[in-house]
Amino acid sequence: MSDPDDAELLRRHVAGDDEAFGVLVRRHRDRLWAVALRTLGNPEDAADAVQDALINAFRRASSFRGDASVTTWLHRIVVNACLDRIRLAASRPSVAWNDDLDPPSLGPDPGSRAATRLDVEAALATLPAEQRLAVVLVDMEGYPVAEAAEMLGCPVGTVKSRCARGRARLLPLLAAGNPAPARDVTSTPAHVDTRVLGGEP
Amino acid sequence: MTTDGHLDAVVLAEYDDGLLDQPAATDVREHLAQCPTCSATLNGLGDVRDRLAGAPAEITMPAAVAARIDSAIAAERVQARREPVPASTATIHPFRRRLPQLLAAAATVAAVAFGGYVVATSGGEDSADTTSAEGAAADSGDDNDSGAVAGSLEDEAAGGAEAAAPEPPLPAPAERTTLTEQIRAVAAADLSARGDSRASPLFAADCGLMLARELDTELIGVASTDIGQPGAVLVVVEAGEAGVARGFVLPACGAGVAEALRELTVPIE
Repeated sequence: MSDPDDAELLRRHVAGDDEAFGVLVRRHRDRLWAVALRTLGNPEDAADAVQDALINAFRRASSFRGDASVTTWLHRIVVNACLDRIRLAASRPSVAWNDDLDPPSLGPDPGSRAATRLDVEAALATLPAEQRLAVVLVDMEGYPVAEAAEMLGCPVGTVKSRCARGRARLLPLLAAGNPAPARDVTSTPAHVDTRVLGGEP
Repeated sequence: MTTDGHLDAVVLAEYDDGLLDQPAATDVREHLAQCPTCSATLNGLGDVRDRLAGAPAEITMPAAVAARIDSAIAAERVQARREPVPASTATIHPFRRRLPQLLAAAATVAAVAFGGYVVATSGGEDSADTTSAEGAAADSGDDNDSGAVAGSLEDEAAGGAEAAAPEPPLPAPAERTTLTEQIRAVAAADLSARGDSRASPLFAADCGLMLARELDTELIGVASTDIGQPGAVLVVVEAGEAGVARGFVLPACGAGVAEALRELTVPIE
């Protein structure tokens, strides 16, 4: 079939088309998954959050007004589901992700893409949730700040500030070399991070 | 702003992003010109930005997670068909499938059979008509859509829903020919069903919920009608006082007040 755009799919879903929502989900789920996984730091919570979010979107589709894009709307719902999970986790005694950082011996191949991704995502886990979300949406997913602000439900200036603070905080983990004030910054690749943060549990 | 005579990494990140006002940015620029350490920090922030931007924007959702979510959505679809939604809790409500087609098809049947009037049929005949209309709508819908895109889970769920909770018949078209009488018929059907919310036509709510919400009132019921134009939908809502109902003839399911073709407030039993 010709490719209906997102808004058309949502409209068809509201009108009772059984297939439209599934098409919409398949179109965006890898991106939504990336956001949830990076925000929550583990696949179990990410799966719960994305599932909650998509069920919510399924139910609330008629409330979509078209002021934002469908992707912005979906992301906003996923972001809120992630924040719900984070609040839930905060009320529990331990955070699984940090436990996962303990084993230092796994040392994945620093040249591999998977290792690089793990580094970034492990480093993200050290950020406060608000900064993490801003960094994920703007610096990793590449959304314009204004769009990320809609997804996060906060002012543009707040998003910018969170991104800057988040990157400053990631500096010792992700920049080549030592922690700030980065007296000995070199162009050494990131194997330091992988040693410190460990591999996949 | 400084740590040990050096600029804070946050300040440098804000400088990097152009968030500092002019005087502050000038100060930072002057400091950077004569401080290799802070210049290195700024470079490090660039590394961080590159590392973040270099990560893939998409991560393939694991198949098990995708399957789990697909089946949760399929279950939601089944649930949505089974549970009628009270208008008072309409903020979050499930959606029915193929509403417009269904109503339009049923209305066409009525129009063809009864020369443009929506007139009385017996309950049995009405059910038969709407069943065939539903079948036609479903068939044409399937033809138009790409079956290949549809997940098998959803197909199974659709089959299961029909077996477990048969689609209720279209609300009987009002058994009269004037708008007043049609509104009264819808109101009467609803009042008789008040004791059992499940007796309300499953899909009626969605057709009229938007309008009811727009008017901040309660939805009484929905029926197809040929008043106004063929395939129109009659939405009846509470008028704010006992014994009175407002009817709106809408061009299609989900239309708002502004789109109403006709509007009438009538006393009801």
